[in-house]
Amino acid sequence: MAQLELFSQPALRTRYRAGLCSTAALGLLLLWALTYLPPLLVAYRSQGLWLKQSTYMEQPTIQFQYEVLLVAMTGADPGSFLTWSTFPAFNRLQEDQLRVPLISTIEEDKNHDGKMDQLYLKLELPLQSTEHIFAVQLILTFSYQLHRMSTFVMQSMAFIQSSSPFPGSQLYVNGDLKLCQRQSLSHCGVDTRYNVSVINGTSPFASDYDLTKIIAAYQDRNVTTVLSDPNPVWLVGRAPDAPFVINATIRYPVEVISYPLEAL
Amino acid sequence: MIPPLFWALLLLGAERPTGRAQTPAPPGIPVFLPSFIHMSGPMVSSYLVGNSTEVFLSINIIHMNTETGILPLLKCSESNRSGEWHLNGPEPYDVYMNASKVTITLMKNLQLCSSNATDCCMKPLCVVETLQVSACRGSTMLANLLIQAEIYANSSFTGNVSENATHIPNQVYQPLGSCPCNLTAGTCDVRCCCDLECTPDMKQLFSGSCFAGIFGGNVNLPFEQLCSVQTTNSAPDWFPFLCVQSPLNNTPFLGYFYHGSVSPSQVSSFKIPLQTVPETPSSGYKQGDPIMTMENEYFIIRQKSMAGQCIGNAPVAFLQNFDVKCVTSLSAYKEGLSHNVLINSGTKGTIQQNVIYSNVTDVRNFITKPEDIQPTEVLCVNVTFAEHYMFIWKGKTIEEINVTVLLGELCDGEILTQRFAVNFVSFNSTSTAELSGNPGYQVGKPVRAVNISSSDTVTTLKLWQPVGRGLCTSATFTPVLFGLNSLSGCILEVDINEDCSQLREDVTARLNSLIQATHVGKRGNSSYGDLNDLVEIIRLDPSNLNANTSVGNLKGICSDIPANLNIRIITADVGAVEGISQEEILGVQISFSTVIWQFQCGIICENKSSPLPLTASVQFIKIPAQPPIPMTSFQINYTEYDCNRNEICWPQLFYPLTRYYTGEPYSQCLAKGLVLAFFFLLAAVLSNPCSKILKT
Repeated sequence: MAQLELFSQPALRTRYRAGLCSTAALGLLLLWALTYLPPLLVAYRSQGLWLKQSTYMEQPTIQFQYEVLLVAMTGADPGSFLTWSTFPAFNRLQEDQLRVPLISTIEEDKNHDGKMDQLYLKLELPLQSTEHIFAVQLILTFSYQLHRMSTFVMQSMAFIQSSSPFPGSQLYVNGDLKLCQRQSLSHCGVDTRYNVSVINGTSPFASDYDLTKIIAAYQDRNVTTVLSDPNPVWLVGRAPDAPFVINATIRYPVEVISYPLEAL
Repeated sequence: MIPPLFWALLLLGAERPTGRAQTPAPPGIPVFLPSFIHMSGPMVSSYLVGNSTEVFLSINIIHMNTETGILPLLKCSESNRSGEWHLNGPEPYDVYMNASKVTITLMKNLQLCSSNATDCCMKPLCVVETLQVSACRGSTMLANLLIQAEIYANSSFTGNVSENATHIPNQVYQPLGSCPCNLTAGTCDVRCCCDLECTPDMKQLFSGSCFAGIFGGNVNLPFEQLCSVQTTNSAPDWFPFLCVQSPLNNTPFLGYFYHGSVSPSQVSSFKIPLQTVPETPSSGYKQGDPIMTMENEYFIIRQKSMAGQCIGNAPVAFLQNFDVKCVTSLSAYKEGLSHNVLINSGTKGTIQQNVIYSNVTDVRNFITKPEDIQPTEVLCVNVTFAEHYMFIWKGKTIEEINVTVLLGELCDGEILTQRFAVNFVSFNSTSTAELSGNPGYQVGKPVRAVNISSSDTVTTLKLWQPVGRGLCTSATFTPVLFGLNSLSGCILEVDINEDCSQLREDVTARLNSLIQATHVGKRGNSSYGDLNDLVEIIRLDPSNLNANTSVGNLKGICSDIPANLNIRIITADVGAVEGISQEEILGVQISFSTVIWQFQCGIICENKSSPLPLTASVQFIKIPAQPPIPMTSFQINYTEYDCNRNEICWPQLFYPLTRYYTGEPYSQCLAKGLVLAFFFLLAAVLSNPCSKILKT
């Protein structure tokens, strides 16, 4: 019958043996179990053995897509508005309300690391001396990319809205384009499920340019960007022949992104 | 070019063709509108207005009589071609106006002749001709169209316009300049023999070692590891074992001026995108396609867009219903598309709109008059108040279009709420009543109800839709929608002298007017005749109400007014159809709750009326079809095996190996786990435990 060596002391040349089915063998098995199992259980029950999520920081690669949709109200009557966009199908829908602005943009890479850091946009909407702007809604679209973990590419937008009972001469917006995550992004692979343009610019139908529908479809996404500017400044005092100016400075900050940890 | 003065003299002397004068022709005799056209392009069209039955058209080139200066008028003949001129028509254009379209086309190549070709234009002024189009009935000439054609040759360049911008190669690898090694301006670059800033003395210093290649710089020098370069003399011992077999244009050498920095990606800018032309549907409409007219343009109806503004130029999508209300005033009013426009049915057939005009009955639904009514006369115009389009479709085509137009008068200063509705109805649909779901109720559809005992057509339970000030006397009703808990109410103005029992009856009558039904349909497709499909409404009338127990004869205070109506509808999930669970109504209970009404006085009680709010609320209570097994408190508190409520539940002890870990696909997890287990096993086997432990 096979025998199990329980304990040996080479100096004294003693060896203790017992059979495989003996009580001593059972005791040895019990000791072995007590050596390995309780630490695992204690480590598990004291929370934190298996970490499921973590975060990392990355500056995303953001590029302005040069798609603009502008709606400006010039009075209390719902028919008195001026609008323009970079989509010819949208411009074709408007008749007298189409007004072409002058737009100038600079996208800067301040620290020369190859990623853009800031967008400066100036939009001048020509007005007659009798026209006054009371409310403005502006949509700008961007392409947003993350590379460090998964390759995440999406088309996102910044929605600027401001209104005032006083006729304005300038709207000043200064904020960050921040990422809003409702679920963690994956840690590897390619994620292009939101690489769809926010506004369908080729559709001829008026309902596809309904702002409530555009925003509802955009907020349905689990990962979006939002322009965080709590206080856009509405400036007054427009000279009669001066245009209405929108001055927007949008920064692209470093983001903290959560991702699920890989256990194995 | 013939001077215009000469033409003026000519026309003065020419016999004036009929129809050119502005006096309207008597009805029945057709006229051309316009009757004189100066043509500068290859195609022109005119309209023949009037009774054009049995009328045929003919086209002829006429030549001026240079002696008399008079244009001859030709007799009627049947020819729709004359030389290179083709005549198309008359095609029916506008049935309402009795108009037909006539098109005259020049079938000649208008390119300027390059060499001795024949079918082209010799001179820039290609065609100078006079045409006469006559409309004849029998042999009588009814109308004439005179066309003076002065057509210039096409001066467009022949070639393709490429939409792509010129691609400039990266200057680091493929410099465009004449001297790529000329890196610094103003000084001589060493070893750059093409640098113009270098004096001949300087060049002589380094003339032996100029940068090789075209103008210095970008060149692929054959490097010594190439197999093609190795000669047997200088080849190392291991040649040709490790030499590189690659063509010279695929070398790792990047040029002398490559500095290794990353260039930013293609920067875009504002583009001028191409405008899409609407395409004509030839094989029918799909859902979402824009509906086209016969003129190849979108069929437009006023719709809402952007932030609630209405735009007039909006096309209509096939099978997409909408109902919009647009606010406008007389100054901003714009007429929509004419109802005489013919619509493309999808397979190039023509559909005409069947229009019914009627006048508005209740102007208050549409017009809001301004506060100050001006006594002086203001400008009032007949405008469209509402349009209702019903498109009857079959398959991929439109069969019929029925339009109901409401007209009315809009005066200056008034605000008009226009209403535009479009409905697509199938050709085969018979019933007009909509089901609320099939078979279970759908959320948002009205609850089906019926009154068995009376013959009134009651189809839903109702709630108040308050209007204006919210008074009960002016409130309208809105149906109770399934699944939406709602609350609504109205204000009843009660006089101080109101008798309490009279008040109670009045309030009860008003609340009962919301619930005129006795039974409610169990399912969304319940029929009103079948009692098995209906559920009786349980009414809990307010505990009454002996007139004797009224609170004395105090004026201005009444108790036990049943002013709040509560409707509780009990629903349950009763099954699923194609994976979607269906809901049914199991029961409906109506109860009243009472309030004490007290007349609100100020310092003195005036003889005004005090408001009494009446409310009605609907609550949908979902009960499980099978009640769940009641859990013991031990089961509720013991969460060791419930991973939703416990972070350290026992099933997640070996978390990466369980199904809870979703970071990787399960197959990958399993593979990694097995590899780890294999290593453990290997370690165990290699440490040879058997020999150590087992000793016989």
